[in-house]
Amino acid sequence: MASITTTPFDVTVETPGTRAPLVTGNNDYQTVTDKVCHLAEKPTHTIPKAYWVALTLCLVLLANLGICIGILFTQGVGVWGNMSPVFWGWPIVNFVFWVGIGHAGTLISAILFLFRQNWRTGINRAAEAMTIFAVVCAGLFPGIHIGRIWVFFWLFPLPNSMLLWPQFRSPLLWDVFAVGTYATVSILFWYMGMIPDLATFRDRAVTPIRQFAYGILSLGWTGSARCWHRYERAYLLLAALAAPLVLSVHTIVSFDFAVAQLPGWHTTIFPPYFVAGAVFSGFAMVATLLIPARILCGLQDIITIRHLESMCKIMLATGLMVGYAYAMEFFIAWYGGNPYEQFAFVNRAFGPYWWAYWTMVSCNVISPQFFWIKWCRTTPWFIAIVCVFINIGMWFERFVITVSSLSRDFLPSSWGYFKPTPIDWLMLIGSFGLFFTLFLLFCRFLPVVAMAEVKSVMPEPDTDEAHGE
Amino acid sequence: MSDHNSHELEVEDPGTLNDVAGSLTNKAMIVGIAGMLLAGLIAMSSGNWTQFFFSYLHNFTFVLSFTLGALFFVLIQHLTRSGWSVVVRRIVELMTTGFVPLAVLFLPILFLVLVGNNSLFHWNNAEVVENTPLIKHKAIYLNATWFAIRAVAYFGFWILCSRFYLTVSTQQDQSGDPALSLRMERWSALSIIVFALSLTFAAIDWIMSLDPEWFSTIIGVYFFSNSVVSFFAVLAILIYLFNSQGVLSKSINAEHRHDVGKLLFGFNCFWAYIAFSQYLLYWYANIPEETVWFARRQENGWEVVSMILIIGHFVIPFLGLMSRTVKRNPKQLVFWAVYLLVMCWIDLFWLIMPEVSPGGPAIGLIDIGCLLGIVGLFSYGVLKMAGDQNLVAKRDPRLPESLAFHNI
Amino acid sequence: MSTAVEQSDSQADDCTEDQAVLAGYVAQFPNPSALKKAASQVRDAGFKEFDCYVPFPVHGIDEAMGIKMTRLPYIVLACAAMGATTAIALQFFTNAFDYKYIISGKPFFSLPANIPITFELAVLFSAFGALLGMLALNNLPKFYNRLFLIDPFLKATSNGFFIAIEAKDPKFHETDTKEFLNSLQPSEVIACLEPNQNVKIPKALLPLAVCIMILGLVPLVIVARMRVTPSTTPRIELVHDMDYQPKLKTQRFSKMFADGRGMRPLIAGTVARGDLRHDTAFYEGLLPDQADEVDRSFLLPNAKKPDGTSVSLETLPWVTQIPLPVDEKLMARGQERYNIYCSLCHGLSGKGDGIITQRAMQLQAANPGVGTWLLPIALYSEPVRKQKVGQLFNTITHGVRKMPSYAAQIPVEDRWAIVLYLRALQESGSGNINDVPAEIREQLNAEPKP
Repeated sequence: MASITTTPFDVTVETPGTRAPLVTGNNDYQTVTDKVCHLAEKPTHTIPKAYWVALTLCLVLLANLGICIGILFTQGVGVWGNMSPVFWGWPIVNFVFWVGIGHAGTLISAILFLFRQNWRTGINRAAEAMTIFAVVCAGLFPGIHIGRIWVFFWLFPLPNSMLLWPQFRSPLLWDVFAVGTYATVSILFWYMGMIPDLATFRDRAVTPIRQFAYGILSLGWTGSARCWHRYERAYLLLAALAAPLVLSVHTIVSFDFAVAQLPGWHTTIFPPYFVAGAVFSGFAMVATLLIPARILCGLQDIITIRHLESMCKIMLATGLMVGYAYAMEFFIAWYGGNPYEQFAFVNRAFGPYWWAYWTMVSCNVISPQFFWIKWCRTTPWFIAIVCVFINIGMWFERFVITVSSLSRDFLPSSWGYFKPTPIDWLMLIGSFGLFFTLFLLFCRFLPVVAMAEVKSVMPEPDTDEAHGE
Repeated sequence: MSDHNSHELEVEDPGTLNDVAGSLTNKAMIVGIAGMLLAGLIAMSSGNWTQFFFSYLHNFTFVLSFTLGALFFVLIQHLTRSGWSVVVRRIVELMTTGFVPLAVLFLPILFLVLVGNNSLFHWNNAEVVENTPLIKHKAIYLNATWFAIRAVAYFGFWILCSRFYLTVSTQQDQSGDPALSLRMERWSALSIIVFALSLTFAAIDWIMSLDPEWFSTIIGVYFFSNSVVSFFAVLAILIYLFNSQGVLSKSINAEHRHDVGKLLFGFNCFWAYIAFSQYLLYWYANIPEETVWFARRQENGWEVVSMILIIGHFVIPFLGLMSRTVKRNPKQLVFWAVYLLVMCWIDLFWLIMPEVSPGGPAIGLIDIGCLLGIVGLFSYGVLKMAGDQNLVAKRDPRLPESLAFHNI
Repeated sequence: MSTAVEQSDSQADDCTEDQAVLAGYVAQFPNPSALKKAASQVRDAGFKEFDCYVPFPVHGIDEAMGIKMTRLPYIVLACAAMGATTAIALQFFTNAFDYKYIISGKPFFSLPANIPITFELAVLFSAFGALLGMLALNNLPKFYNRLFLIDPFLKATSNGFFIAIEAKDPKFHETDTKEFLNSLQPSEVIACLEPNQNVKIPKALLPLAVCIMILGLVPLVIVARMRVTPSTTPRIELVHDMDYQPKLKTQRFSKMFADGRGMRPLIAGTVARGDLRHDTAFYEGLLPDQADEVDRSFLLPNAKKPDGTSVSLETLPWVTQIPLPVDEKLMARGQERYNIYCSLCHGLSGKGDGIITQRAMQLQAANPGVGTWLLPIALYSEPVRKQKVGQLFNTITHGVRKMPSYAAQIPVEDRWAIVLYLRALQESGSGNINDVPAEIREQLNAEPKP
């Protein structure tokens, strides 16, 4: 469109009828490539200090996670605070939290793709990477909570000497398949998206090691239009597959809770409510990561304020959906007239875990309301703060659902109060170490922005042919 | 994006709704009145007024559902600054004028509730309330006065909201002022929140409370998914009808049909997802107070209707609408749109009618009469109210983008 | 333009150290529009073996080049169908065929519960289908490509737009094609020369590959063998504490206690909450002051004294009053419980004609000498009427003759309620027409007998 080439002063202001540019500054195809490759191609000694500081800190946290897992394996799951009746303590809270974080990546790369939201091109690669790292963190917790980690393969339908098969009518097994499929498809999608960009890395590489490594990874991609044609079709198909997949994963995670008869868990809004919450927390995490990363990698022209603003709007929308679900749960708990259900909800808000509940509500429902104000949506440091609060709130949401319902059983004699142990704390913090370490390595070694996709939404450079437009 | 259109695209002038369909106004009225009379006479001769009320409610919610879907479409297009849809948006805006005839058509139901008749809503009877602890518990929500206040509030919002968008949009036809687009965008965020709440509680009031003891937190979302599917089906049909009259036949092309088809397909999957979520959770936990509602729909012939929904509402259109060619072909798309519209009607039938005839599904002349009556009167209302409006938002700043729009 | 061609010629000279073969021409264009225009001209000129190389998918190039729609969607659809079928088959085989196991009352093969996994596997298979199908149709991975030998071509993945016409195209001509490409206003045209080296695969490579593959199978064979070989060596204990947890097990030895028993006996004189039953009148139907003298084994059905004679239950010190306040409510409760638990054998009137009895007698009549069912005695017959309430209570608690104990099913209060109702049944069962009030008597006479 002709109007695309005129750059408004502020990209977050869009006059109807013109589309604000997605890449700011005087960038062309070459400078975009240079900027994206910048951090990955730097010689080691010129990497900014901030990167090393961050990496060291994350590695320390990662080591702490490793030690905790070692303790867990040798001592057993008793090192956690899990107790009767809260048999599902922090491990499941952390699991659901991390799986939820992962949802934003696929949402951005698949659903926003299907809805033709072109702004997603600036952030989709980093978001997909984040998805995979979050799923790694998520997979860790159910993996280690089984106690005898060396027989983890019993989760899979493998023939064994006891002639047993897993129980396919159990939502926990659905989880294994859902999270397994999700991780696999996310990796396929991520990798397929990276093939052209890895080819760019290959063609720009100067050292033999890089040439070899990126040469292998890019599978001999040449940029042939015939290949692009099938590639685009495959991308569209994967997006169409990933879109319902992303819905299904958190839906199935919600089934873990909702098919049970426990008050506070058994409610039909759970599937869409969990999905909305997952997207909500995922976007908060993407924003938390990208606000520093765009500065670290020098990508302010590609991941612009407008991208952040759009993410804020999605957070506001999904935050409201989560608020809607909270309200519906409360209303139907009263409307349904089931005394146990009513007790569960009153207990959440005013029982012994009131502090967790109100943390959740204030972080998840109240804090995104700032995003009604434009200044809040366009000020990176402020967005980062709100996003951290949203992540805290979403962690507490899973805590409230899991712990408050479990700690108050039908029988008052089996009530209890869950207290986390230091190992619980250290493992949660350690999982962040794993997550951030992987992300930092990703920034250093792989294309952080989908260059090819960004170029495809950039205006064509002024040429003889294009002058007419 | 579309870097290849060097020539400026022009929209053809489609004229007003009256130019195209003005001749139908009186016919719609006649069909409407005849339908209502037919249903009323049969109800009178058989004395089965309860059946009549339920059929009336069923067909009322059917027409309401796609009108709500239309309002949702208008709001979401503004909220997302959508470009592709501008060329069809006016048609949808005109559909939303239907809230006024719907409000009039709701008056009989409201009257019935206010005079204390409980043939539709069991809870509307002091004796039942007194003897049923569960209903007594809900009486502060489910009572005639509060029900009426809520209904007035829902319709008040829907009418105000739809009028606002139509008025501002037609103002833009005169002035072409981009600021009006911004104004509509700004209000859409707040409106969509109120819309979500009003739709949810309307679904609770008019559908879920037919069985006042049953409850489901997802019912609002379920009704929403049904509304959006039936709306896109109606939109596809309207596009076909207009195009076959030569109206906007160049401007609305395969690309737009493709998008409408995709959304129809996508939201139909969404419907299946929501329906499955609700069913699986109740099936699995197997708590009698929850499964009783499904049990009623799985016996005495209702299981056939349930199977029709699973296979006919999801499996068949899923396979049928998957292909790109189908969505781009006007005839094939309209076939699936009509098909899905029928399925949406059956879905509401399945939601509402087992409460009056748990003994088995039966579609009689009362249903046909009510369907013709409500659709006819609704169409008459729309044609009367929106007849002199233009059929395309001809000076919307995003219209060029919509005309030049290409799928991947 | 001509300088560009000269430059590329000199580059081409660099490549011709061995005798190189002309593999085609590559033309670079400044931007996507120019490329698209040129591509359609190349297509119109009738070339088939040509391709465009671009750093991103250029909109509209498919039409310009005349690329047909790929058949990838069908591959993906087939994969989806395969995934769904696999999932259904897997779930049917494992849970409904090979290892049937009831879980929370669900059918072995319960479709609603199978849908999540069916969906997941369909998506998983089709995702692999989409990626691998795309790679296969694109002939990837292909690590060697002669275009990589051309230096400027490396820009095709950042900001260069190229058209390459291959020498194997039937319309290709060494000079004409070059001129044709130059006429399309490219920024340069490069000859792509392929070094004609006769590179041969070393002969040792094939045996080596076979050997490596065979060696790769060794671990699998070892694992397979281990799975079917019994072993006497103990398991490797990865975490000792987890295999030998310090805990007490029932009926096992324990070092913790002096007597070496893991199970602990009850402390003398302890009574579990709710188990204190000192009110013998209420709990056993025995008079409290004489209850201590009764040998409790006498209360069981078919009890024998130590000398071998039968116990005469009638002589035991039974209570004669129901130890609960007798009112209409208790009577109603008794009737309800009687109809649920007793009437199946004893009949609603206590005559001994319950549906189970009727059925059993029919079967016994049809198959003489097979059954051992005894006709229950009519509850209003003289011997039962004579029994004290305590004994009736005891019969329900412990059973009598063939009748089993109902203590597990019927709580104590309900047993007394049934006893009360039994008294009412006995009253009605042994009454005659004179017991009926006069006005009802006439009514009874008036009604035809059923």
